[in-house]
Amino acid sequence: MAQLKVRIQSLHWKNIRSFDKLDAPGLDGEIHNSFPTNGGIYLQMPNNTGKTTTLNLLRSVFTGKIPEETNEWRRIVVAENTESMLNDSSEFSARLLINDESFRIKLLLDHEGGDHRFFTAGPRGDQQGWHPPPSFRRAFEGRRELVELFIFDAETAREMKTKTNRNLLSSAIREFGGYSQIHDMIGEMNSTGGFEGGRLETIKSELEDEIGSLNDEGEDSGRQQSWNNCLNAVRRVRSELFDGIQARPGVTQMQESLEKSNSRMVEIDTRLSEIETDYGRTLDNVQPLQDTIDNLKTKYRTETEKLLESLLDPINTFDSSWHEIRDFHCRHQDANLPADVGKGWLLKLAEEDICICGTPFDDEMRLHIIEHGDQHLDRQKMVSVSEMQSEFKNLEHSNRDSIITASDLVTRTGNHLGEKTTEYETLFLTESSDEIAEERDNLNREKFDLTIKIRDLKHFLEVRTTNNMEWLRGEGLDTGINSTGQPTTSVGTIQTVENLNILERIESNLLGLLAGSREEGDIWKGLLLARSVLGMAVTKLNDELRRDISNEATSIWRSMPAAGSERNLRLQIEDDGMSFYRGAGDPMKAVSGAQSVSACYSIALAISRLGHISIPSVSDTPFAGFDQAMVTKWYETISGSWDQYMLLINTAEKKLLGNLCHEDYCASLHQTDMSSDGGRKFIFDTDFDLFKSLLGSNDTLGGDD
Amino acid sequence: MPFSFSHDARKFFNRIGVKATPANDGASKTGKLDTMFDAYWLCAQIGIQKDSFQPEEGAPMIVNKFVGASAKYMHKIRGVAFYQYCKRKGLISAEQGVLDEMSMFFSDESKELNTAGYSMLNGYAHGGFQLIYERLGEHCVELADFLLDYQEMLHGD
Repeated sequence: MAQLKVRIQSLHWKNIRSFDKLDAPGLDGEIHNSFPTNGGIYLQMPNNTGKTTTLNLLRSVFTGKIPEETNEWRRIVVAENTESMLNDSSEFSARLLINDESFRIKLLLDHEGGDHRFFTAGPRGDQQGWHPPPSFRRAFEGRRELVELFIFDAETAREMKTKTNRNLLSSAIREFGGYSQIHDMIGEMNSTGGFEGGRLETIKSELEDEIGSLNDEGEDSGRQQSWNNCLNAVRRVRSELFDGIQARPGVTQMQESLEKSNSRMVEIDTRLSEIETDYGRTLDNVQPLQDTIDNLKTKYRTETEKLLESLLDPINTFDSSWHEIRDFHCRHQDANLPADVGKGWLLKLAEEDICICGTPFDDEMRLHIIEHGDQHLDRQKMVSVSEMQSEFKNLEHSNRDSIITASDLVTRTGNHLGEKTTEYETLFLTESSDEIAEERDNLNREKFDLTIKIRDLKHFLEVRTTNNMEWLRGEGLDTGINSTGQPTTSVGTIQTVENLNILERIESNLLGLLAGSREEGDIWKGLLLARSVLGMAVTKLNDELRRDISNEATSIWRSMPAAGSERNLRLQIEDDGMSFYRGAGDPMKAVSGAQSVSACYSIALAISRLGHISIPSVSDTPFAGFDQAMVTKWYETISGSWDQYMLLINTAEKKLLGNLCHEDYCASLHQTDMSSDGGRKFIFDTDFDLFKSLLGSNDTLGGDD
Repeated sequence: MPFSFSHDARKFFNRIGVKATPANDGASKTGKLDTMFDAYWLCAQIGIQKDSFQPEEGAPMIVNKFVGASAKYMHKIRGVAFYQYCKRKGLISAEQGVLDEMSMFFSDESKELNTAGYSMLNGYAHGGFQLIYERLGEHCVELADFLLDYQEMLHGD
C-alpha cells in the first residue's frame, strides 16, 4: 500500500490582498514555529480577510498548478477612500511535513511581468519549481478536483456532485491504492475504455511506425497498401470523432457541454430548493401537504411496479384461454423423465442402499432398475418441456383480478396525487410573489430543456465511447464490425464508423494484419495482449475499490449530523459524478449545503483510509446550514477521524462552536492597524481570550469572502 | 435466432426507461422496466391476444435468454407461446406431430428457445408493438400511463 503522510506546519503570506506580511504561526526571530501535527487547528479570520484566497493558494501549493487568474490576489491598499491594488509581487508559501521531511513550497506571483513560479526548499536544498517528493507529486500534481475534496469550501462542496466522478476516483484509487506503477507501464484509461500512454505506448508507437510505413523499395503488395490506406482513414475518422467536424461535435465538445449543463443543473436545483425552502415549506400547513405529496409519489411508483409485475405474469393476462392452454399441456404430459437427466439419476439410485420409497435395495431390485429404467425415459423429451408441463399441471386457475385491483390502485393514487399537487401549486402561488412564481416557472422550463439536452449528450457520448458491443448491435450502431464479428477492412465503411472502440478494433486488426505480413507479428500481438490483460485487471480492481469507497463514504456520511438526521441516505460515486439516494429510489435532485459539506469530508476520509494515507483536511466556513446540535456531532466525527484538520472560520462560526474547540489549537488573524503601504495590517495571535472575544461585523454562518 | 426487437420499439420503451440499458435515462417518474425483454414480452402478449403477427426482418437482437422480471415466468411464457404456436399450425386437437414440434420450438439450453420459438415470439412482439404504437404514439413517458393503457388494450375489444 502507498504511504503518504502530510502535515501543514505553517502558512506565510506576503503582499496578498489584506496581508502585507503575515506568518502563521508567528516566527521567533528567524525560527519557524509549527502548527501541531495532530488535532484541530482553528484559524479565526473575520470575513473579507482572505479565507477563500488562502484556500485557493493552498490548493495551488498542493497541485503545483499556477492559477490562471492571479490579479485578484494583489495587495489591496486604500488611498483617499478609494481601494486600489498594488502591482508588487505576491508570495504565498506553506511548510509541509511530507513523510516526516519538511518542505517549503512557495508560489511567487509576478503581477508586473506575469512570470509566476514555484520554489521548493527541502532536505536536499532549494530548487526553482515545484518539487515535492514523488509520492506527493504522483498523488496531487495537477489534480485540483482531488485536492478540492481535502481543501474545500461550501461552494466547491456543492460542485463536488459532478466533479467527484469515476475519473477522479480512478486517479485517487490508482495512487492511494498502490498500483500506480502498473499505470506507468500501461498508461491511462481513455474515454473509450482503452488504455493509452505509459511505457507500452512508446513501444507501440515505434512498432506502429515500423509496421505502418510502406516498404521503401515498393515491395508492398496491393493488400498491404490497402490496409495502409485503411489505417490512414482510421486516424482521420478518430480525429473527427474526438474533435468534431463542422456541425458534428466531437467527444471533447460534448464532454465540455455536458459538464456545463450538469453545473447549470446543480445551480437550478439549488435555487429551486432555496425557493422551496424560503417560500414553500415555511408556509403554515404546507409541510404536511408536501409530505403527503412525497408519500403519494412513492405510493404511485410502488403501485405501478405491482401493476407491471401482474401484467408480466401470463396466468393473469391469459385468463380467458388459460384452461385451454392448461388442458393442452396436461394432455401431452406423460410420466416419463427426459433421458438426458433421468438415465444418470436412475443409475445412481440403483447404487444406493435404500430406495427413495424407504425400502432397502436388494440385488434383484437393482437389476430391475438397470434393465427396465429405459421404459420410463423419453429420449426426445427436453428438460425445459418437462419443467413447463409440470408447472402447468399445478396451475389450475387464472383470473385477471390482480390486474384489475392493481390498475384501480394506480388510477386512484395518480388522481389523488394530481389533486394534492394542484392544491400545493395553488397555495404556493397565493403565498409567494409574482416574481418568485415566474422565476420558479422559468427555472422549471429551463430544467426540462436541460434534462433533454443532458440525456441527448449522454446518449451521443455513449454511442461514441461505449465498449458495450451488444448494446451497439441492438441500436444498429455497430458499423465497422461485420456480421461475423470481424472488424472491417474497407475504407468506405471506416468513414461511417461512429464508435471509437470499434475504430480501435479496426486499427488493431489492420496493424495485426500488416504485422503478420511482415516480421513484427508476434511482438505486436504480445504487446496488445499484455496491455489488454493488465488493463482489464486494473479496471476491475478499480471498479471494486470504487464500490468500496462509496460504501465506506456512505457509512461515514451517515455518522455525520447533516446526513445522519435523515434515514436511509446513501451516496454513490458513478461514472458522471456523485449521486445521493434516499432508500432504493431514484437519485435525489439536490442535498442541503450541510449535507454537501459532510459528503466532502466523507469521500476524502474514505479515500484516505483506502491507502492508509494521512492528509490534513482544510475547510473554509464549513458550518453553513449547521445548528448547534449538528456542530457538536460534527466535532465528534471530525476530531476522531482526521489526524490533522484545519478550519478557517469566521467569528460567527467560532460562536457556534462554543467550547468545543478549546482543547485544540486556536488562533486569530485580525487587523490591528493600517500598514505603511496604505493597506490593512494583520497579525497572527494565539491569545485565547482574543479568540473568544473577537467579533467581525460582517460575519454570518454562510461566509462571504 | 435470438429474441429481436425493432429500433422503433426500443426507442419507445427507452423513452419511458429501461434499467438495464447503458444510459438508463428514461423520463418516467413512476418507475422503469427492468430489461428490454420485459418490454418485448408485454408486446408479445398483446400480439398473441389480439392475433397481431408481423415478422420484422433485420430487427436487432436484444438477448437470447429469458431475463429481467419476466424470467421468473419463463415456463408459463414458454407454455403460452407453444400453445399459440400449435394453434397456428392446427395441432391443438391433433394426436400426432406435437412432440416433433416441441423439438423445433424448445431448447435444452436453460432459459433459451429454439428457432421456431424465437421466430414466433418475435413476430408477435413486433405485431403487438404496432398496436401499442397506434394507440399511444410517440409521447408516452410515464410507465403508469403506459400500463393503464396497456391493461385497457389487453382486456378491451
